[in-house]
Amino acid sequence: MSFGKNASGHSSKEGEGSRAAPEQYSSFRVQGKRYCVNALSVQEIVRAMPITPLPLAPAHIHGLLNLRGQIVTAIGVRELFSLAQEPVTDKMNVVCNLQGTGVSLLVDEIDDVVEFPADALEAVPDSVSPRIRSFLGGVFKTPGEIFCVIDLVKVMDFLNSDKAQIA
Amino acid sequence: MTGAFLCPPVVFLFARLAETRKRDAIGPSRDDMDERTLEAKVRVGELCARLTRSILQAESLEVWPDTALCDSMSRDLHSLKGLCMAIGASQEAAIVHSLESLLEGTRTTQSFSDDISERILKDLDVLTKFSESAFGPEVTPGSSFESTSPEKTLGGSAATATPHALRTKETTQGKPGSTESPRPTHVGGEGGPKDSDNFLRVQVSLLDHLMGLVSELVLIRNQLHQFSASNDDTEFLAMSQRLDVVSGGLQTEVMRMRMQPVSTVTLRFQRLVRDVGKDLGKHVELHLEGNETEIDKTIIETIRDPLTHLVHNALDHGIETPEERSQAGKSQRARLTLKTYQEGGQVIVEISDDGRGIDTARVSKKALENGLITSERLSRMTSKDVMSLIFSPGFSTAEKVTDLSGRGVGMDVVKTNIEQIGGVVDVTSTLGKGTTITLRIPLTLAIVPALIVHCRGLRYAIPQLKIVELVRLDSEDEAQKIQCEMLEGGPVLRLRGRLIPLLSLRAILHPENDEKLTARDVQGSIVILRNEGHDFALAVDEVNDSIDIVVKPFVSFLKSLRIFSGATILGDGGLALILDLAGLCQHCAMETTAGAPDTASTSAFGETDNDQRQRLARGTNPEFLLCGVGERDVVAIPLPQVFRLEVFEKQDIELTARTPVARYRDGLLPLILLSKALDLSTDFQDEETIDTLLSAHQLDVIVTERHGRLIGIVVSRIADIIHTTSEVNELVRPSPGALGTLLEGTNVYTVVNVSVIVDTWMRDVLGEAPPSGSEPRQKALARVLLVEDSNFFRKYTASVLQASHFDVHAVSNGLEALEHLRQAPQNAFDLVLTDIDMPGMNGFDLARELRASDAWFKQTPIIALTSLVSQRDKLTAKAAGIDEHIEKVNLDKIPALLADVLGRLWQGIKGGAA
Repeated sequence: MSFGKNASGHSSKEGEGSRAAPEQYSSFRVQGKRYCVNALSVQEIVRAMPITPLPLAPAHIHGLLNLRGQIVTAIGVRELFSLAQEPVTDKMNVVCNLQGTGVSLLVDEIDDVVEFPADALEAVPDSVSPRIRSFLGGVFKTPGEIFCVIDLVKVMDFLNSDKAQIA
Repeated sequence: MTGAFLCPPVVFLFARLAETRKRDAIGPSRDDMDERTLEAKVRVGELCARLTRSILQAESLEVWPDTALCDSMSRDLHSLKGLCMAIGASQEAAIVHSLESLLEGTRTTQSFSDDISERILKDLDVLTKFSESAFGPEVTPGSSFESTSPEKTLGGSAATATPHALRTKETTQGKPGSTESPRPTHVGGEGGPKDSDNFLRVQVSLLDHLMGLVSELVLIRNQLHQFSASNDDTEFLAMSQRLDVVSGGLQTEVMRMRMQPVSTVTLRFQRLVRDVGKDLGKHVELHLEGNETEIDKTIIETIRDPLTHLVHNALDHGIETPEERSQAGKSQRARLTLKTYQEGGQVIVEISDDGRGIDTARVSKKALENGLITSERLSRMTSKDVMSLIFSPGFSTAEKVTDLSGRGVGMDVVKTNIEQIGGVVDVTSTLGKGTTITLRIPLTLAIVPALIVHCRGLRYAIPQLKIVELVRLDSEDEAQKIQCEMLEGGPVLRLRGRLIPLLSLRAILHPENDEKLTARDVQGSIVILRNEGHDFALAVDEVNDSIDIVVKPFVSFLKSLRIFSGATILGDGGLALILDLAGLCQHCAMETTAGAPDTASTSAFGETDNDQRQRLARGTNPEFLLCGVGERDVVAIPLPQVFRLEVFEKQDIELTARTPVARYRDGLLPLILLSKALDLSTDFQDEETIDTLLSAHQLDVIVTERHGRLIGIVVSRIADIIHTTSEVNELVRPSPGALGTLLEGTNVYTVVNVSVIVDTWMRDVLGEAPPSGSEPRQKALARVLLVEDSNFFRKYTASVLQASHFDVHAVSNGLEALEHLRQAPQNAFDLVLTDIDMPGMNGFDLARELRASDAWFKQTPIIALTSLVSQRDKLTAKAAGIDEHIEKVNLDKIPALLADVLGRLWQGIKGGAA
């Protein structure tokens, strides 16, 4: 992981927008788009690991991982976002810990850790599909890119909800 | 520190108090609570526990004050007050302050009265609750330590009961080494004067992490093992061996860390015994032995409730009143002993009392009265067996309901709870002397023996407890008793005369492959499993070893995958999913009712005569069970109607007044003689036939299920199962109980219609009318059409009514109701129960519509379920054609009200001969 850099375009002005302490976000790519997750929730990032599939589980649950004795559920972000599934074999695991549960987000590529001040968070633009929007907490804008922030609480809510279950 | 400080204005203090109270009332989570506050609360809990013990001790003394004890209690109270002040719990501190005064008073009066101890104990309870408000179930404050060394004096005279909370706080604040600055983990002796210096307080989550790491280490060691097996390097081998020893030792020690002394549970009983004893007016002394015996953390909580109940029970029923004891020549003080020890991989807990013992005569009588057992069976029981009857469900119908577990209490619940964790319950007793109940529980729950099976390259674990046996099917063993037969497309295993539904794990887990099983495919390994008394067979690809696994339950959102209960990490680091049998059965049951092939057990459910006749008439390769009836005749019973084949011994049979019955599966199975039912052999009489059959010492019985009950059909012998392509000839019916005849080769068999036989028998022998309609299995009181727009009321009214044996169909508005009635068959409903206030078509309009129509429901009684009961509404209702009202009251009362109303209505109808 590379060192955090201040990528917030807004706080280039001194004193403005930098009243809030910068927070670190772990960023990654799914289908070319950049997403990020609050680094405090990320336990670790691991390369592709053998996954034990869960029969009869919904498509977004790829299976279970054994992470040094901790059983972590692997969730495919592509399936979660209802994106087209290309047979990408080597996925990276962003292992997050939420509400005591270990959940690993399977993503295409890992990018840098970025820093944004909390108040630079903006609303999700309309161009984002409703399905993806339901998992986002907001976006951060930099001159070059938009970082969509995945809200893990929303992810957990979805996983726990009825819609996510099998018949 | 978070407390208020020196001389704040009173207003500020109150504000602080309010804030603290609010925070404590909500119960801050461990995360956002100050670690120090957390720690302080733990100490508060410990102090309260110790003070409680001191009070109990003080009560039993003849002379008061016992200076040492009194001083010790004073000091504890003082520390307690200081702690409360330190975390800003001013109200709690005030409570302690008043206790201090109270205690001081007893020094002067020289008496430690009951009232005083009651008061102090009650207040300590309040404080204990306060101390527990921060915790989840992991940390149990207080009782894990046995306090032997006296607490070091805090300094400051304990006797000066100063009214100003502030000043006291100053005093304690100024003392170094006081208990105000606790840390989450600390070594005893430094600063905090603690109980025993040999204990360390550690967060449970740390222990769990440690366990995880050690397990991982063991896995790596295993891998190293495999590597070293093929390696000749002696140095490497030596190192590997040393690693073995060390990691093995590490694992053992870490596992031991999870063990807690059983005193965590048992010490609280002292208080319980005292309080309950007082309530009942009995003098009871509790003796605890083996308190230091250690039990795994996972089990401790599980046995708390059962143990509490057993103690209660001993106090209630086991121990006599002081008068009774005197009369019996016993000491007035009864003795209750709780002994805990380890033996052979188990923990044994013995609860013994020297009370009145179990009167087997009374137990027998009660069991007979409650219909739990037949007198015949009773006569064959040993006295120990009889005593075990107290654990039968339904035995203690007169048992007091305490608020222990919320649900029914009773010894059967204790037995179930203990057995659920793999333990056993035993009872021995001597009349007049006492009773001992022994619990044997496994050392740990987290580890469970399981069988590893393979399916499609993945591994699954099946808990050993549920496995009955393992069977292999080889194609050349057709001739053997074990056969696999196809039944309407669904496989059934015939095992020693029983028919067991066969499931394929592959088909269940991978339904997308749409694999239809043929008998050949199921060749291989079969695991016979038992789930809640029902057996079924599971075909897997391969069976591996039986190993001990560490169960890791699923996370919340995976819990909906009912067929799995969790996962486990195997020796090589791979994961195996643990199968949940109940979930598996549910899953398959759903599949079968959704139209997939039936198995033998499900097809006997709820299938109407029509369906069956149609199915058989279609001649879709049905199977028949050939049975001998009477001397010569052989009949054919459609295999789908067969639930089980059983053989009963003479002693299992009882001849009751109405019908012979057999002891079967914790219940009684009514028996029908097929020969009589078919009227085939008219020259025999009832008793003679039963006797004739019984003289052969064995009874062949076909168990069938009808209308939710199991009935047994007695035949002279079970001959064979045939598959046939012939069709049942329905024109030739030798008797009303027959479906027709079957031509098989040169033989003609009468095909029996089991449903008709059972229904006829129910009508003739039991005097019951079989339920009409194909849905209701129980005899319904009435069929109700419920019209209610509120989702909540509709759902709950329907379920409340159904639980009281009403058959309910619910719709959400008047229009739907009308539609439904129009499309329903004649007399589909006995009444319409409708809300009045509904959008669209309200209750009045609905009634008017129904009365105006010409269909069968013109006359159907309409009952309004409503909260509108003004005079005017009543008149409107009557005019609209509504017969009666039920007020929307407590939902639970509705069935009774409805039954009343119906009773009146029907009497009116009969009387009026409408």
